[in-house]
Amino acid sequence: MAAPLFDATHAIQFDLSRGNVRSGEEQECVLLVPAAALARLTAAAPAEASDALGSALGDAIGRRARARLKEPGSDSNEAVVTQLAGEAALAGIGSVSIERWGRAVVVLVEGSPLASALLAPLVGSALEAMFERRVWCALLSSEGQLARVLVASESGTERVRDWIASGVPWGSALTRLQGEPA
Amino acid sequence: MSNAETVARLQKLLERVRTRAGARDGYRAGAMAAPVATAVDSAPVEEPDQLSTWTPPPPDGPVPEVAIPVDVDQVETTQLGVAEREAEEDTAGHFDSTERLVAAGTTVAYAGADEGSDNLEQSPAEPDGGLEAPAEATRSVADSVGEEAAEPAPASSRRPVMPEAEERLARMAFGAEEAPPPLHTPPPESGRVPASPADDFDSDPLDAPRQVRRPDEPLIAEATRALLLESSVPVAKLVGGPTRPVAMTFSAILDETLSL
Repeated sequence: MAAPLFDATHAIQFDLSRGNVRSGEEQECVLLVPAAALARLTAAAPAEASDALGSALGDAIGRRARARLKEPGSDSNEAVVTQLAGEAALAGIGSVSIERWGRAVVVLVEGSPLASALLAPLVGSALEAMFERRVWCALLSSEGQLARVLVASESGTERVRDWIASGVPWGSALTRLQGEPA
Repeated sequence: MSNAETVARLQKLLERVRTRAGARDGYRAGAMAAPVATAVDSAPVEEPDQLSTWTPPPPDGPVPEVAIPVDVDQVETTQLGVAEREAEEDTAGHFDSTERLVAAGTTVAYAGADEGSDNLEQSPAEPDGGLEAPAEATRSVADSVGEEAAEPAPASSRRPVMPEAEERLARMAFGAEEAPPPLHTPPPESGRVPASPADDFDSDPLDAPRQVRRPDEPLIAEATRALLLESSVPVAKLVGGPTRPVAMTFSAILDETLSL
């Protein structure tokens, strides 16, 4: 069964008389902020502030994607990714897709104007909003416009951060994470 | 032999001929025998014993005068006459009695042969060999008759039924020196035909001209290349489709990755 396409019709409503921009069925007010402004903010703010910002952005995307899904718990992988990627695109986060490396799920974010440090809390928060469960993420790599974010358990993400910090390639870190000698 | 004896013999022969003709065909009344007598008189005839195998019975009554139609054309020597022949015999002196008997006998033989073949004609004798001509001519007739008698039997009937008696006795007494060829050979046995010897095998039945390499000629590799298929031929054939994994929900995937 083919996954339903992302319907972006009237996804964002500009109320020029009021000077508001609204998005989604909930008519949530959004703000068009230059990416450079956010970059400057994250660069100056502490890590917890950046994580909070990223989590807030992801939570909004997740909630809107969940609203598009009938039953997120039983929807197919393609359907979930389609709606998630659609809402992320509307927010200007970039092109979102996922990869599976064995049992591990890796979310790819390509062409994002945000700093890579914001992507891991953003992805995690979006998934928590969609599935209403606790999710942990760790940044695997940021190569140019492409960033890879690992979705795993809390301990798993902590080990991967340590391996990558020690110079282990992200592929080997994924291999080690799944119990195989890297 | 004197002429009187010859004439007597001829008359005697004529009588026998008449008797035979009468016994076979009957006499023809008014038949003239004079030409025959003339013809017979002109030829020294003596019947050879080997030519007469049948002796007619003596006539019961008086023998009537009959004229036997004897074709006298065959005897060119009758032109010579008895007197002339005497003279010639005297002058030549090379004809002995045997030769004359042969000549006379052949004449009679011709006459006898004429009974069966009336149309036999003899070519005229040569002037130089007047006496030889009848002998030659009659010999040829007799030979032809003999050839007819001695004509080889057809191949189908030429096989001897049994060996000759002498050969058979000799074979029984001394044994056969070498086995005679069998008259009949058994038919070939059925079954597999034995293979011919390998030496007789000719690997080049077409007798194709073979290139003989000269000693100073460099060796040239003779490559044999396989005839591959054309690139347009569909070599690969897809059977069935790839196995697609069971569609997993994102929630299940999330569970797996969160277990790490």
